[in-house]
Parts: sequence; C-alpha cells; structure tokens
Amino acid sequence: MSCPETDKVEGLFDVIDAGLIVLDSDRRVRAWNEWMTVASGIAADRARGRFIEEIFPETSSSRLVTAVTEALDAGVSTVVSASLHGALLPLQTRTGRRLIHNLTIRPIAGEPPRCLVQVSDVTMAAEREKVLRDRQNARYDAVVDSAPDAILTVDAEGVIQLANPAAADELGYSSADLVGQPIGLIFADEGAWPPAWLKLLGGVPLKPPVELKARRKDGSVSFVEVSAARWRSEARIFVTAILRGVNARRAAEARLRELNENLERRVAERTADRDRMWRLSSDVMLVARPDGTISSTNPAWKDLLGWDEAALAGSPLREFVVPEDLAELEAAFAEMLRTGSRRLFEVGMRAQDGRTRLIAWNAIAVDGLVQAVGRDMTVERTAQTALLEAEEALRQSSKMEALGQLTGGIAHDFNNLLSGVIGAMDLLRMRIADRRYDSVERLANMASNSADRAAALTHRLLAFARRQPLDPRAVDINHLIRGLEDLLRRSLGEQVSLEISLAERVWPVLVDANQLENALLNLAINARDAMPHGGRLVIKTATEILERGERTDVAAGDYTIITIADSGVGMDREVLAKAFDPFFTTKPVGQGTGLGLSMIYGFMKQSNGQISIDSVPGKGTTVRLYLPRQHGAAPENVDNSRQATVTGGAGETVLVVEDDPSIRLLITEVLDELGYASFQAADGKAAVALLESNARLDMMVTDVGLPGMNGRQLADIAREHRPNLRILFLTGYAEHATARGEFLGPGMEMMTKPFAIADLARKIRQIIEMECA
Amino acid sequence: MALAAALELDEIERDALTELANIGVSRAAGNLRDMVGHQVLLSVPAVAVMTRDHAATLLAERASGGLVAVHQAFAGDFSGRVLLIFPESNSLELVRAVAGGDLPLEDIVDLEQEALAETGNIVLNGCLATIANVLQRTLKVSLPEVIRGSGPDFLELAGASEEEDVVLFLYINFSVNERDIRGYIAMLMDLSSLKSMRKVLQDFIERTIGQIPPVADVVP
Repeated sequence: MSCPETDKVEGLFDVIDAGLIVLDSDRRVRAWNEWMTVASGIAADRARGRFIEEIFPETSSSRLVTAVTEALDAGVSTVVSASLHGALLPLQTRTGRRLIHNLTIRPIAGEPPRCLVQVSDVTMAAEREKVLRDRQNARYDAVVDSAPDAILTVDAEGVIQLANPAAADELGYSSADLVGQPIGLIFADEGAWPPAWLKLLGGVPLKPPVELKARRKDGSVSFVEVSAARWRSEARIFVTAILRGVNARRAAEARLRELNENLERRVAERTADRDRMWRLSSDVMLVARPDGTISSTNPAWKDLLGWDEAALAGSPLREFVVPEDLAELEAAFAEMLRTGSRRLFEVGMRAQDGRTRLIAWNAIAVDGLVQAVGRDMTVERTAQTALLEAEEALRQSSKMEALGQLTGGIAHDFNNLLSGVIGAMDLLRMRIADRRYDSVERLANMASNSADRAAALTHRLLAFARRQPLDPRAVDINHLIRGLEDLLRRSLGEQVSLEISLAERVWPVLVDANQLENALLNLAINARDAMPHGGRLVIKTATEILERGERTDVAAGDYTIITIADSGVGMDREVLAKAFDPFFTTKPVGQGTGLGLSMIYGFMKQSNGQISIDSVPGKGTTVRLYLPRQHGAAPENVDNSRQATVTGGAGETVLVVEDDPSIRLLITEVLDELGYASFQAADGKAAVALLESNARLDMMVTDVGLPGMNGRQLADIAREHRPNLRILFLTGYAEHATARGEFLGPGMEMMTKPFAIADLARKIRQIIEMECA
Repeated sequence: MALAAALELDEIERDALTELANIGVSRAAGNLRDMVGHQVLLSVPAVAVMTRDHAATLLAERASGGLVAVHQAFAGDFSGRVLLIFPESNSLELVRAVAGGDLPLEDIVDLEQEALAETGNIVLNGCLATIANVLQRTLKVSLPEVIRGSGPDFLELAGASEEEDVVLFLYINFSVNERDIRGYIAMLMDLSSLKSMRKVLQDFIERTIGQIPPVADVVP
C-alpha cells in the first residue's frame, strides 16, 4: 500500500460508512477499517493477520468461509443478506444495539487474488420494516386469524400461500399443510370452481358468494359459501377467498326440506285418504253454504238418489227435500248455524226416479260451511215400521185371544151359575103354582148359592182387573195366619202336613185382611192340588229390606214376606210363564176357575206388593208374597166372624139414592124389614131436593155410579146441608172406589154390590149406631 | 456455417459440460443445505448450445407466465452473463423452501427479493466456481441482481454485447423441502467466448481421459 494512488484513497478506507475487510489469498485479514473497529469493538491491529472465524469464533461462518474461498479461487461474488441469515457477525451500533447487516464478498483482482468483505448497516431499514410488518401483522392477525370463516390466499398458480386457522379447521388440515397445496385440490369435487377461478384471475370477483363443495383432507365434503377477489402485490396476483361453512345451514335447510316434503306427503296421504272416503263412501256427503246452497257432493248421491254432482252443485238443498220435511231441514240448519253444534235429523230426500228416500243426516257447521253425512234409513225405517205394525198386530191378537179366553171363561162359569139360579127359580115357580111348599126353601137356597157364587166370580174378576174395592188396614200378618190355621188344616186334608213358621216379629202391613186370607187359602188349595199323594206345606213369615236395584220386579223398601212352599209336582218353565194368566189352569175342567193366581196377582199389585213364584218340576213350588211395611198405625186385629143376625131399626129415616129401580126397591124393602123409614130418589137431583127439605134424615145410602152427579158429589152437597149425615156408598165397581181411604170422608162407609141382605142390614145398623154413639 | 458448427457440441463435450454443471450445482446444493438446514437436491439433466433467438423462443414456449431471473455477469478467459431463470409462480415456493415454511406470506414476499438473489447467487456461484476451478481459469463474477420479465427480456439486457449471441442452456431441477422446481441456467456469451470455453473444455477432457478425441470439424 505504498502506491501514491493508494495513499490518496487510504483515508477513504476508514471514513466510508460501511465495514470493509480485505482478506489475503490465505484468507487472513489484511485490512480492517475504522467502521469495523467501532462495530465489532476489535481494533484493526488485533484483527489483522487472523482468519475471520478466529475473530468471531462464536459465529457459524461456514457460509462466509465458502464465499471467501470461492471469491479467492474462482473470482465469484457472494451476497449474504441479513433477512435470511440474521446478524451473521456480532456487530453493534454506536448505541450498543445489535447491528443488522448485509455482507458482500467479492474478489479483488490482482495476483495473488484478494477478497473484499463489505458490511452494510441495514439496521434502520430492518427496524422500520419490522415495525411496519408487526403493525400490519397485528391488524392482519386480528382479522384473519380470528375470523370464523376460512380465509385462503392463493397465488396466480392456484397454490395456497396463506391459510388462517379457521381454514385449517374447516378443511381438516394443519395450516402448514394447507400452504403449498393447490386450491384445485380443495375444490376437486366442484365443477363450478374452474370457471370461477378463471374469472377471478381475470379480475372478476366472486360476488355474490357461491356455494361450493370443498373436499376435506379426509375426503369428506364440506359445503362452503365462497366469496373471492383478486388483488395485486407489486407485480404479483393473488386471490383471497373467504369460505363460510354452511353445513349447519344446509343441514337445517335439508331438514326443513325433508320436513316439508314429509308434511306434503303426509298431507297428500291424508288428503288421499279423505278423498277416498269421500269417493267410496256409501253414505251421501254434502258441503253446503249456510243458505243451503249445495257446494259439493260425493258420488254416493248418484248411487243412492241418482243425482249427478253437476245437477246438485249450486242448487238449494231444499229442492231435494220432500215438502213435508222442509221445516225440519230449515230448523236443523238454523240450529246448527246458531249453536255450531252437531245436529242429527232425518228428512225424506227426492231421488231422481221420483221415489223418496229417508236420509238420516249428521251435520255440523264448520268454517262457515255446513258439512253433512247422510245415511239411507229408508230400509231401516220401513223395517221398523213393519216391525211396529207386526208387534201391534200381535199385541192386538194376544189381547183378543186373552179377551176371548176371559169372556169364554166368564160366560162358561156364569152360564153354569145362571143355570142353577134360573133352574131353581123355575122349579120354585112351579112348586108355588102347584102350592107345593115342601121343597121351596131348598130351591131358594139353591138359587141363592148359585147367585152367591156368581157374585164371588165377579169379585174375583174385579180383583184380577185391580178394580176390586179394597179395604186396606194395618194388619199383623202373624196374627192373621194364626187365625187362619184351623181353616187351612181343614182345607188341606189328612195327607198334607202343614207347617207354620212365623218370624218373631214382623212389620205391620197395609192390606185388605179378608182378601189376604182368601189369597192364602187359594194358594194353600193350589198347593194341596199339586200334592195329590200328600206332602208338606210350609207357611213362613219374614221381613226383608230390599235395596234399590236388588230386584227388578219389586220396588226397594221394607217388606213383610209370606212364603207358601209345597212339595208338590211343581211347574215347568212354560206353565210358570202362564201361571198368572186369567183362566189359565192346569186343573181338570170343573176343578178350578183359573182365576186364583191371577186374582192374587192383581190383589198384590193393588196392595203395592208383589208375588213371586219359584218352581222346580218334581220338587215343588214356592210362592212369596211381598207386602210393604206399614209405618204408623198399629194393626187392629180384625174379627172375621160373620154374623148373619139381622138387627132391627128404631124408626130412623134413610134416604136411598139408586138409579136401578129393582135395587132401590130391594134396599127399601130391606130397610122396611129392619124397621127404618126411607125416602127414595132415582138420581142426584131428586136427592138434593130431599136433602134441602126439612125431612128427618139420619142416613143416606147412595149408589156411587149415578147418572149425572155421582154419589161422591152428592155426598158433598149432602154434607153442606146436613154436616152430620151418615153416608153409605154402594158400588159395583168403581175406579175411584178402590182407594177407599181417599174416597171416604168421616162418617162414610162403602159396600160392594152384590151384597147379602144380612150384610147390608148389619152395615146400616152399624153406621147408625156408631153415629149415635 | 461457422456459427452452426460452433454451436454444435459433440457428445463428449456435452457430457463433460453436463458433468461440470452437475458438479457445480452439487456444490451449490451443499451450500444451500448449509444455509437452509435441510436436504437440497439440484441436478442438471441436459445442456445445449443455441442461438439467443432460439433460447428466447424456447423460454417463451416453456413458460406461460412471467419469469424471474437472478443475473450475474462474468468476465475472464471467456465472458458473458449467466441467468438462473424460473417461472415467477415458482419463486415464492423457492423462497419458502429456502426460508422455511413457517413464515407468513407477507414475510415471504418481503424476503423474496433477497432470498432469490442469495439463492440464485449460491447456485450460479457453484456452477461458475466449479467451471473456473475445473478449467483452472479465473473468472470475475459480479454480485447477483434479481430481474423479472419474459425470456426475450432477459436475453436482450441493456449492455449486452452484440456478440453475445450464443447461449449455453442448462436445464436445472430443484428439489427443496419436498417441492420440485424446474428452471434453467442460461449462459450468454459471444462466439469467441464460447470458442474459448470449448477450448478449455477440450483441455479438461484431455486431462481427464488422457487423449484428444478426433474432432474433425472443430478447428479453432
């Protein structure tokens, strides 16, 4: 370096603002400028003659060594940039910060060759870049890394240069894996991608977003909505794409679509079902407007009534209804529209062939329309009518048969009895004409007996007809049966043993004691007849409380029960069914009237009681009489002995009111016989005149069934004039007479026709004496 | 047809040149490996000598988009310029391969220029140094410069000599970090430089295999 030229520039070497190191051909430092001394802290004289790797032993300087060697050997120049290598040499700025530098290693021409290492300070630029980059990255990261959408930046070749974490997640790659992949791989399944890509490269943004299929790393498909645009960085073209995952939305859409399709299908199925029903129903169906105009009808109208839908639609429904049922139709419509409730109604509908069919409509007004289904009831109603008529005819014929049997029976019995009466009277008349009086009394008794029996017959008939005038009183059944025991034993005879088993206490019952005795006697005789070879008859009493619904044939309540059980032949089901029929009898002709059980039945019903029969053929029959408990008055034990004694009167005056002259005459005869005075009246009017007069009247005997004013009304008038007048009603039969208690006031009595003279006399006497007492 | 004859490398020359180039890029690969810290494979499968126009056409045909090149000039027994050329679209890949895959795109873009320059510098230095060493000649090679453009742009650079109408064309494959990048090395020189190079190449062959093959039509 002694060359004057060189000396001139020697100073430059140390003032230049760059590090300069000159190396000899053996790579030892030959020159080391001031900049290097400041930056490295190593003075030139300490550096000189040493290898660089000696000076900076901590530096990985193989790159530098290679570059120096190549420069010396082959004359090539090398750059070593800070950006790729960081700070290659441990240099510092004057403020002690790390000095960022680029190196260039160049050969210096000459022989032997030398090498120049130049160090350029790029600290300022690097820092500025770093600040800018950090700022930019911070912004960028904030947006890109936290974006929920996948963001891919792709270079012009379609290679992914950037992928944010969301992209890695969405596509199943790691971010590093994604970078460097062609984006075509992601959209390999998507035919719409290549044209879109070409457009993008051409500068046409992908806007609005398009939905594409993206392939994940595992091969599965993810649906993404892609928006993308091209941008430039210096000379380069990039495309940034934002991929928004729409799988959830698609799934929701798919689900919605499926639901819709399902719903449509279900609706369609249901509609088809309903339509099928509408078409195939044999019932006529109808939709009508509130004013009765037909909106639609089903095909059954054609089958049933012959009307086409075309003929029906738009016409008023009333045109198809028979005139007599129009009111019913209109009432049904009005009611339906008013209440919105279902209506069932039947109207006759005109068929096209002119006939009428009865349709039972089931209709309801819904949504402002009347919907109705109608069933053809013509056949049913015809059948029903026919059945009713047949039943009525059967009933009529049964009634006539029963009536025939009844009248036949009555006529038969009456004829027999009348024969006895007439025969006896004829003989009597002949004997009187012949003045043969020896057998007059016998013949008169014969006539009386027959007449008595006729009277008993009519009594029984009335009992059966429940027209029997009863005299119910509170009765102690046990007492009644004990009083009847002798008579029963005599009636049953030797072969039948009687066992009476009475409950210790029974409830008193309200019943006509005489009729109850008759009934028991009748039942005992029936039992005896059922035991021709002897047997056992048991009569028991008991009490029973029947709960509601316990028996269908007996009302709930407290009952005293009399059981009459025999060990006789019994009855089969068929006989049992007819047991209560009047004039039905199993006895040989002449042995029974066939009125026994029917009479008892009527009597029990009239007494608010019931009779039941259980029977087993060969084992016997058990009859139970249910008599309702009498609450209140204790029973008076009736004296049943009959007195035939005729007692005389003491001049009392009796008014006889009777429309039948023979009976009126008979009664006055009796009164006369008894020693009473009498007035006669044929009707109420005549009677009233007498009642209003001043004549003495102790008693009035009046028929109940009078022409005009009846006996009861007459009694009321009589009491107005004469409040203490004793009154005896006579009655053949009278509906109102059956309930004696309601009919009779105080001081009134009743007698049933026909009656024995003695009974009448005793009754009159009893009444007058009672009043007098 | 002197030019045509001059362009025509014989088989041994071509083999020798290919071998030299491969030695060079291998050396560069070693340097690159030292730099990036993982395996870098470089190979030169073929070489050809062609006219500049032909080379321009070839580049235009091979690369549809823009190209990027690292340029260095050399001077010595033979002079000219050398370019490492590859498609611009590959350049980021190359940078990423060299600089490491973890850098954000923005950093890669920022680094691109320097990384390309340095990478190209290593590759080209490797080749030139090898050739110079093997041929026992000294060359003076400039610092690298990154340029962008099309093939013809590169071949008609400002300051290019009129005479530089011959191109030694080397195909080069990079395999870096599991990324394969294809490129070319184009050495532009004038015919005299080519002749000089062929001459030293003959010397090399002679030294290597110990005999001079009969090259009838190659008469200096």
